[in-house]
Parts: sequence; structure tokens; C-alpha cells
Amino acid sequence: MELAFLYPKWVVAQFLCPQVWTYTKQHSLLLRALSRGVLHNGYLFDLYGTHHPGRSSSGASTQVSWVVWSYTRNSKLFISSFLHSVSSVSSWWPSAIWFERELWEMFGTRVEGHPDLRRLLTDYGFVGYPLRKDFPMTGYVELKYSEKTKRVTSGSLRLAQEFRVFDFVSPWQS
Amino acid sequence: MAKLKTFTMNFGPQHPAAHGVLRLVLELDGEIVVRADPHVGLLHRGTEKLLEHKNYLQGLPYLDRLDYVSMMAYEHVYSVGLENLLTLPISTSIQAVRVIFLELTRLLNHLMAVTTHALDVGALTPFLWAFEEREKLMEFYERVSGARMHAAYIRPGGVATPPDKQLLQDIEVFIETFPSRVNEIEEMLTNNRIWRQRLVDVGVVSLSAAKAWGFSGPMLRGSSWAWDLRVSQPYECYSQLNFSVPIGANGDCFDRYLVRTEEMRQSCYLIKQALPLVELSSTSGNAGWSNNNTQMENLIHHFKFYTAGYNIDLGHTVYTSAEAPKGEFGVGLVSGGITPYRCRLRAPGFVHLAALDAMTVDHMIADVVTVIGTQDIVFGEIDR
Repeated sequence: MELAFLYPKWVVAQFLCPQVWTYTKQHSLLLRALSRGVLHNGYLFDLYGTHHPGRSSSGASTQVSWVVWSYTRNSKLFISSFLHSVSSVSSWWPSAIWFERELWEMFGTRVEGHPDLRRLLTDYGFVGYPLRKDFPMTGYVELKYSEKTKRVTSGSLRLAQEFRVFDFVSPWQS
Repeated sequence: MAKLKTFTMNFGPQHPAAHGVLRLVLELDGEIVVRADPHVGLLHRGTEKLLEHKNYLQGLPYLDRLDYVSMMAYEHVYSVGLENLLTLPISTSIQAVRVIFLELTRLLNHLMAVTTHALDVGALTPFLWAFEEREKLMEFYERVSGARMHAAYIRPGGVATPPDKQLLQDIEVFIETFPSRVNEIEEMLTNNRIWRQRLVDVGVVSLSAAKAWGFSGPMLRGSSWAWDLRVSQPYECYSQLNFSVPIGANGDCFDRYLVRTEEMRQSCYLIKQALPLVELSSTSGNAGWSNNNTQMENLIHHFKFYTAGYNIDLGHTVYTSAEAPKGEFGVGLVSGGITPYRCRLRAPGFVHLAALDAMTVDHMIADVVTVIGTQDIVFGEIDR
């Protein structure tokens, strides 16, 4: 909980759910401070997004989370923010280069100051942001081998059976 | 003076030394690597998306398939994440069963890592020996779960079924003899002239670089940093067990090879200590397991939980990580009722491969194979 005391200007709120998550509007300054010095000696462990359509007051639907390993404190620090665009932390943590590429391609969150923003995990020429909640699990295209042109071609998806969601409420409510 | 042009070469995606479907675009100046640009994602798995559409238990087998040479280590982290969400206590006996199988998994992974690395560099024999041992290890998997590889054995709340006495005895016999198999592999490799020429001072990662690139596991320990989650933040019953964490001195491929071989010996030592902690009478994985076939109510509850799944209140976030054989594997779970709202999978191999360019620049093209081998790359976890 000490981040709120150390950096009161940058920390918006902290929640215990059940780990301590720190919400910030100044992620760049806060993460830079965590990377420096002996106080935290932090290194980026993970960076990922979560899509919450229509949840945030600021209008941004993607929650970006940074997990920072503080080796001196032997603990992970969880930083989070709802953002349309993030500023890259790759200049001091090179491990962020791929994480931010993934964040951008999966959620469409712009990454400012990124050295090499290209698609990473999706197919060449892929359109859309797959981990957003409005993206269907089955996707939009399917690949086929075309006997005529002797190569793999992509076309719009045709499902022989509708995708089924078994969304019955469990009687074992907690 | 004539201007030298670099040329670009495709390595993979069907190259046997790429350890899977890695397309590596190499920019070469003669035989010297100027830039290595890995193109990943050719497996198109979408595990994180799929997990959002399955209930918690249905999602578990996907975790086996992430890193398909250390299956149980990954399902374990997911199970622990769910246990943290549900605040389920686990008895020491079940923890010991988990530790035994986690360490067997580490043997499984490191045998593959070390000997396929040797295979890529040109030593075939240790590979054949190791796969014989892997066969025995997978037999243990099969005897306890019914599956040779994708076990789905470590479940939220415990394990699928308790191991029987005969199996534990056989594991004990196996780990008595296994260290001499490691010695045999070491005799072939450690002082082998070719092996040393190919590995020593290749792919050197300084400690500061290893930390900045987010390395973990043998990749970090090879750069002389004694960091192991089993020691620094013990989970299961590791705090009751005694073992040492091997570290490298120079951070080159050879040190990481030595770290992995020593970790195999330490795993045997850990299993030996964990075996007496298993109490066969109380190893039932799920509460009331033994009553399932005799009491009607239990059977109904069990059936409902297994088919309809269970609810976890919305919006709880738990980030769990553990020391998988390849490094720290992290699972960020956001509960969303009957399915996870979001399940982030942080694969160690993904982070390591991101540093491939930094590790191979100014090396010879043949060293790229060595570096890929030392990173212990598996594409199941990278492509997710």
C-alpha cells in the first residue's frame, strides 16, 4: 500500500482485490520511478490489457496492467490504468517491446514512443483486435486450400453450426 | 571502397532447429548476424480468448497445451490462481503430491531442453538416452492421470486422483537411478571439445541485461542471479524442503546448460524429500472424493460442479506466478462469474524470445541455433 504514500500525486486509488492494485493516471512517471534506484529496483514482469466495454468514466475501455517485479522488496507491484493510448516503457525496460506490440494488436491501444510497432501474434494482414469483447471467438475469416489457384486463400467465415454458448446460471451461487 | 550490402534470409518456419514454427528473418553480413527478427504466432492458438468462453475447469486442459514439454507446471499455476480466487486451503499431503509431479515435470522439460539443444549443435546420442528417460516419466504421468502428456492432473482444489502406493514406490526407484543418467549425459557433453566450442562465450547475457529483458528461470540464474520463486516466495510445500539453487558465472549458453543439468539433480533431491510427506489415506484431490460413489448427495454435487461449473464473484483479480521449468509463468485471472472474464498468460519463453535479437547480434549464423536451443523455446506457450 506504500505506493500511495510515496507517490500521492500519481496514484488515483488503490484496491485490494485481493492483491493490491494501484490505479494511476500518470503511468509513465510512476513506472519510471519504480524502475529507478534502490527503493524498488523494479523490472517489468508483465504488461497486458483487459477490455471492459463501457465501464470507465474516462471513455477508454481498455484497462492496461503493468506487473513490476521489485527484486529488493521481493514482491510484485500491480499498476493499472484505463487508457486510449499508453506511452511506451520500452526505453528503460526492453522487455516491454513485445508486450506493447501484443497490447496494440490485441486491443488497439496506441503505444506512443514505441520503436517497432508491428503485429506480433496474429496472421499477416489480420484485421481487428481479437481480445476485445466485441470480437467473436470464431473470428471473421477462414483459410482454405484452393485447388484452382494451388495456394491457401482466405475467405469469409462460414460455420456449419452456430457457435453455442451454454450460459446457464449455476445453482451453486456463492 | 565498395559498399557492402547485407542480405536477408528466412530461417524457418519449418526448420527443425527452430524448435517449432518460428520464422526468423535474419539480416546477415556474410555469416555475421546483423539483425534477427522473430515472426511468431504461426500456431494461431488464441488460448486467452478461448479461456474466456469455457468454465474454469474446462479451461484447465488448455494450460497443458501451452508448454507441451512441461505440462503440469502450467496447469498448476492456473489451479493455484483459482485457489487464490476461491481461497481454498490445500493439505500438505496434496501439496507434496503436486511437488513430486512438478519436479518430475522439471526433469521432463530439462531433459528435452538440454538434449535437443545438444542435437541442434550436433550431438545425437544424449538425445536418444534422454528420450528413454522421458518415456519413463511420461509413464508416471499416464499411471496417475491416464494421459501421457496432457495430464489435466493438478486441478483447482487438489489433484484429480491420488497416486497409489505402487506408483510412489516406482518413482522412488526411478529417482534413485536417475542422477546417474544425468551423469552419463554430462560425461558426453560437459568436457566435450565441440560442445564447449559451440557454447562457451556464446549468447552472453549480463545480469543487468537479463533483468531488463525480464528473464527468469535458468536464463536469469545462468547470469549469476540466485533467483528462484521456490525459494524467494515459496508455494506448495517447498518451504519445508531443502534444496539449492544453481547459478552460472558468465551468463553464456554453457552456464545455462550447467544450471539445467544441476537443476535435474536438485529435482531428484526434492522428490526424495517430498515422497514421505504424502499420506496415502488423505490424498483425495477434491473434498469428499472418496464418498462420491457411496453417497447420493455427493455424487449430485460432484456432477453439477463438473458439468455446470462454479461461480466466482465478478471482478476479482488475482495474479499468480510460479517457477515453471522455463522460468516464471504468470496467470492473471479476472473472475467473471462462471467463466474467467480475462485470463492473461505470461509465458517465460515469450519474454526470452523477445531478446533473441539482442542475444544473437554480432554472432555467427550457426550460433543462432545455439541461442534458440539455450532459450528452451516452445511455441505452444509463445503463440498462446
